[in-house]
Amino acid sequence: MSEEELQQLIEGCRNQDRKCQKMLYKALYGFAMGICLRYAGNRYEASEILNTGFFKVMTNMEKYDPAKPFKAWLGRIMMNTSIDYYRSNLKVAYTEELDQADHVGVSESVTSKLGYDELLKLVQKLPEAYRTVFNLFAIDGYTHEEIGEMLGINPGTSKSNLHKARQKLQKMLQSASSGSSNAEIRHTSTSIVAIRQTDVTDIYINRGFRP
Amino acid sequence: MKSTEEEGLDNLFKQGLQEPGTFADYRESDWDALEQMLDEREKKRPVIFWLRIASGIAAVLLLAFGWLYMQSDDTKITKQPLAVHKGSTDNGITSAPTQTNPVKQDNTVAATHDSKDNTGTSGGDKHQIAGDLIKKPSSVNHGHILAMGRTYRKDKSFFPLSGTAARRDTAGLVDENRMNRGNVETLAAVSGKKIDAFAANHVTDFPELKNDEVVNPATDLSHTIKGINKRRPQYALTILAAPNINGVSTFKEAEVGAGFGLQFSMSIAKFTFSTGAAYAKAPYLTPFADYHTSYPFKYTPVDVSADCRVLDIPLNVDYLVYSKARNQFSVGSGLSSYIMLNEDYHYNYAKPYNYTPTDYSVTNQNQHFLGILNLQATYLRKLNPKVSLAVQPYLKIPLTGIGASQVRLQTAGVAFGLKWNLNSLAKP
Repeated sequence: MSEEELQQLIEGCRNQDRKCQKMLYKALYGFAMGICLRYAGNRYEASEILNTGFFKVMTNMEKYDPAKPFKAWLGRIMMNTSIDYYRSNLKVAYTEELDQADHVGVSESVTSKLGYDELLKLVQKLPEAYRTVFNLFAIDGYTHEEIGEMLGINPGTSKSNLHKARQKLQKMLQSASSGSSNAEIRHTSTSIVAIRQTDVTDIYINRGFRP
Repeated sequence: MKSTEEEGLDNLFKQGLQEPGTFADYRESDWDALEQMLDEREKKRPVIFWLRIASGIAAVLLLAFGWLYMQSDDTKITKQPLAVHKGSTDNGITSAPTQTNPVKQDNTVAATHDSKDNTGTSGGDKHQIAGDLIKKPSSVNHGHILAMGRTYRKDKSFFPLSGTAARRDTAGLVDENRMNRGNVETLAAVSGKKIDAFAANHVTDFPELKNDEVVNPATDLSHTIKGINKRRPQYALTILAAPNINGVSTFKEAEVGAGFGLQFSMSIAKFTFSTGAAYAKAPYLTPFADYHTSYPFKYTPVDVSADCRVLDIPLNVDYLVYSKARNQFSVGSGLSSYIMLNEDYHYNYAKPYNYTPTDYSVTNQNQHFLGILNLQATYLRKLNPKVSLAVQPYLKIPLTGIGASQVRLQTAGVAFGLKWNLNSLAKP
C-alpha cells in the first residue's frame, strides 16, 4: 500500500467511513497482530488486544499527527494496549514453571532453523511478566528504567524478569536442540520444536488466566 | 549467561519475530468483532449526546429557577401607590375597597390609605375599601388580610419575601389558615401613616374589617412568610462521611468499609431531591459459590476476598415526616449508579496449590447505571440558619450483579455530615 493510499484511508477513518476502516484494518492487521502476538499468551488474547488497539485508533484518529509515520503510531498503540492488558492482570500469580519443555542440550544449528511460529510459541510460553519485559527490552529496545515506568515496577525487577525470561528461553531452546531424545518432537521440513504438543486451550489455562 | 550469549538470544528473537507468520493471518471474525465494538459505540453516542444535552438543560433550568427564587424582592419590587377612595358600598358591604390600580388591570387589587386621613389602620369608617372586582365579599368570616408594605412584587408573588422588610413596614392581620391553604387572593397594604399599594393577582375577598381583629400582625405575617418559603426551593450542599458494612446477599460475614462524598439537594415543600457523588471503599468476603467467573478453576477456592473502590452517584428523593424546632426527620429512597474504579479479588483456597491463581484485578471496567436501590432515613439538627448536622442511616440493595464478579453486594451504614443551606447566601 502506497503512502498516498494510506493517507486516504486515514482520512476516511477520520470521517468514520466503515469501508475505509475495514481496509485500513486489513492492510495493517498482520503488522499489528505481529506485535500483539508477542505480548499475548495466545492467539485469542492477541486478537482481543488487537481489536482494543484498533478501536482506540479508529476512535482517536484525530489525534494522529500526519507528520509522523502511521505505522509507528499504530505500533505504539498496540504495544501500549498490550501493556495495559498485562497491567490489568498484574496481580495474577504465576507460580507455574516451564515443566512442559524438556531439558536437553542446545544446538546452534537447531536454533537457526527455528521459524517465526516456533519462536513465537517459545515467547508465549513465558510467564506474562517475563514475556512483557523480554519484549520491551530485547525486541522493542526499551531500557529497564523505561520499562519500570511503563509497567510500574522497579528497574531491578525488570532486570530480574529479563534474566529469568532469558534463562527460560535458553532452556526451551536447549530442549529444541536435543529433540531426538524426546518422543514428542515434531519434525517439520523447516524447524524442530521440542515443546510438548500442548494445545491452545492448555496454554490458555496455564498462561492466560482471565477470570 | 554471558553478555554476548544474551545478545545472541535477543537477536535471535528480534530477527525471528520481525515478520509475522501464519498466526498473524487476517481473520474476518476479528473484523466482525471490531465492527461490533464500533457499532455499539455509534449507538451509544447519540444517547450520551442527548443525555449531556438534557443534563445541561436541566442544570441551566435549575440554576435559572434557583437564581430567580433566591433573588430577594429588592430587585423586583417597585413602589406602586394605588389610590383607594372612599366609595360606595357594594353588595351591602360597608367597608369594601374601591380599587383604582394603575399597574394591574382587571385582576389586580390594591388598597391604599385615604390620603386625607393619616390616622392609621383603623379601617372601618375611615377606610372605606371597596372593589369593583370583589367576588365573594360576604363569604369570609374572618379572612382579613391587611398586610402593610411600601412595596410589592410585580410578579406572581404578592408577599414580601423578606421577613425583615415585612415586619418593618407592616401591621395588619393575616388570615393564617387561608394563607397556608394557598388560596388567599387578596392583600391590602397599610402602613402606619399611609397605606401603600399592595398588589395581588386576583381579587376575591374583602370582608369587613374589624379593628379588634388586627392583632399581632408581625407574628401572623411571619407565619405567612414561612408558608411561602415552603414553596420556595431550598438548595443545600451536604458533605458526608460514612462508615459502612458490606456483604454479599447477607451481612453475616460483613466487612467494614467507608465512604465520603458531596451531595447537592433541592427541597420543595416536604420533598428533597438530591444527587452527588461519593467515593467508597467496599471490602467484602464472599463464598466462591456466589462469585461468578468464566475461568475454569482447577482447584476451587473456598471464598474470595474483594476490595472494591466505587464511585457512587445517587439520585434520591426524601420526604419530610417530622419537623419541629431545630429537628427534622425524613425518609427517602432512590437509585444509585456505581462506577467501579478498581476491583481487587483474592482467592482463598483450603490449602496452597501450585499453578493456581491467587489474585485478580480489574480497573475501570464495570459500571452499573441506576443499578442500586437506596433506602435511607435522615435526621437533621439545625446548628444555625446556615448549617445543619446530618445523620443518615442507609441501606443499598443491588438490583443487578455488581462488579466483575457479579455479586449481590449490599451495603449498610450511617453517614454523618454537615448540610449547608445555600439559600441563606441570597438573603439580605
